[in-house]
Amino acid sequence: MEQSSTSIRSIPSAIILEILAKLPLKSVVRFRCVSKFCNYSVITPLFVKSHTTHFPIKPIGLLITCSSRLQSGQMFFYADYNGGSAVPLLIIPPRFSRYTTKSLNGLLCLDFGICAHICNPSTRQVITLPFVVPENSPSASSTYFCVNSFGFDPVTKQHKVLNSWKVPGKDPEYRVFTLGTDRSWRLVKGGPCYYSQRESICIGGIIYFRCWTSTCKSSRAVLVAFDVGKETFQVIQIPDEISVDDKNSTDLIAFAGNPAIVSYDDEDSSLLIVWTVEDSIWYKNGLVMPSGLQELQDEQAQLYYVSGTIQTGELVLAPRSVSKKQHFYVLYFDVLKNVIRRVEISGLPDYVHQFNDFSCIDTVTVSNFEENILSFT
Amino acid sequence: MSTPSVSVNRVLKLKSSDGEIFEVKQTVAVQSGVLKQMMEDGCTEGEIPLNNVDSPTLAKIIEWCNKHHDNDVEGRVLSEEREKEKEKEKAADMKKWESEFIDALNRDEIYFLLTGSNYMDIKELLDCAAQKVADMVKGKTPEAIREMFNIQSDFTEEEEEAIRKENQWAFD
Repeated sequence: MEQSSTSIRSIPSAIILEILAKLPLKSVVRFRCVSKFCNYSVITPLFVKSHTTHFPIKPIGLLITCSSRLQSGQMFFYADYNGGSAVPLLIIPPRFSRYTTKSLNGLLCLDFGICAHICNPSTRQVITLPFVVPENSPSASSTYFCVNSFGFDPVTKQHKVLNSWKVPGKDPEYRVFTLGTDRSWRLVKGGPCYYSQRESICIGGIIYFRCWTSTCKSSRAVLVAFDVGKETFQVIQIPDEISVDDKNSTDLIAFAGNPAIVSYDDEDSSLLIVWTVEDSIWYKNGLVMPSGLQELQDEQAQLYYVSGTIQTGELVLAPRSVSKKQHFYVLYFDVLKNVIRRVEISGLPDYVHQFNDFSCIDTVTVSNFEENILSFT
Repeated sequence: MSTPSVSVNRVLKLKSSDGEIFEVKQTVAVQSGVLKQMMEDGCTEGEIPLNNVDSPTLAKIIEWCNKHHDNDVEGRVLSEEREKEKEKEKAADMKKWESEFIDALNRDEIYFLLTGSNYMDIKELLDCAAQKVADMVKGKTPEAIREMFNIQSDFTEEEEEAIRKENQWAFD
């Protein structure tokens, strides 16, 4: 500190914002505590845009989420792609969500049926969206097929939540909530008369999710594409060959820029089948892994699933649960080189499974972590 | 980039807030958005008063613009045929020059450079000075930032406690 204590005289606020835009996220958050002007300035769309030009939103590691002890909340951790110890980010009460979307520009949607949370793990901000219908309304008792999916329109740069809700015997209702704009849900027309599944993924301004055509055993699954900008629906048939009977048998991911369904072969655990769809045409890719997934699963005594891809194009395989007995490994499968590498992540909670009735107590999901300075008001 | 009213040999007379006159080639002065506009509008006769910029700061600003102008002209010739490596080397040299230029300044000088380059609309210099201040701010506490920027906190005690609590993770 050889410098004199003379402070820089009051700097015009426009210049302060220029300086702020060049600071990493953590320093910007500290700046929020300086004054009301600073606190307000950094959440304006103009500032977010300017900051993003210096710090583009891009995946920087893994985001891992699991339930807290006694299922009193959902915990989020950050881990380096190369493994090491997981950094706790935040805990969101009241319990583990029914489904948490994969990171979309660093943001997540936690699905609780008629209620949804939007979370930005990088700023630790969580907001609760208004209830889709009042909590005490009659339909609120039948929320099994009430599903929230999360999308981003690259044209308008708007994030939207799509709520699909089918009560048996009634027509389904689809509602949209635009973050930062809407104060309540808007009904949208033209949605298919199906029962939505929870899993969804947004790619290039389109939310994809699967639906059951009925609640009967003979039900088929279809893929629905919702255009986030235009708010229109398209139904894509899914080939019979893609198994749909067991929820653990398939996963919906983005693969090479397209939606894809991964299915696992019961007989041959080293075989992954990745079905991709482009312009309503399905392509089947059989991927043979260099070492059997089964061997690893046996060794680890847990199931691995394909949770998505990372920037390198590698497929990410992660355990479906955290376990007290085992190390937590994430696998990256390089399809082109046909190589699997494995990293260990430490510091995640481990539970003694006392509450087996709660199926998701030990559930864990792994997704990309992207830093985004965006705040919701 | 060049406009019909800008000629290589003509110079502009810039007058600093403390009355000193600086002569600058028009081809150099176009880096300032404000001066460029004035040249295009044809109102650069006589002395151009820059009431917000004192002479030490204006000297620094002109030093910067001259350096970047030289680089620009040479750069254009080089980029025709010479190898990419030369270009890279040149960019690295310029980066080095910029950081030495800015590191030699104290806080107050940087402040004047910030306001001066903002006033004269010299984007690259403003960026460079703002980056320097950003590096100085990184990791500082809100108290230290207030001191640096001469900002008074307008939070009530309760508000400050609440916002600190909300953003506690950023202080760990």
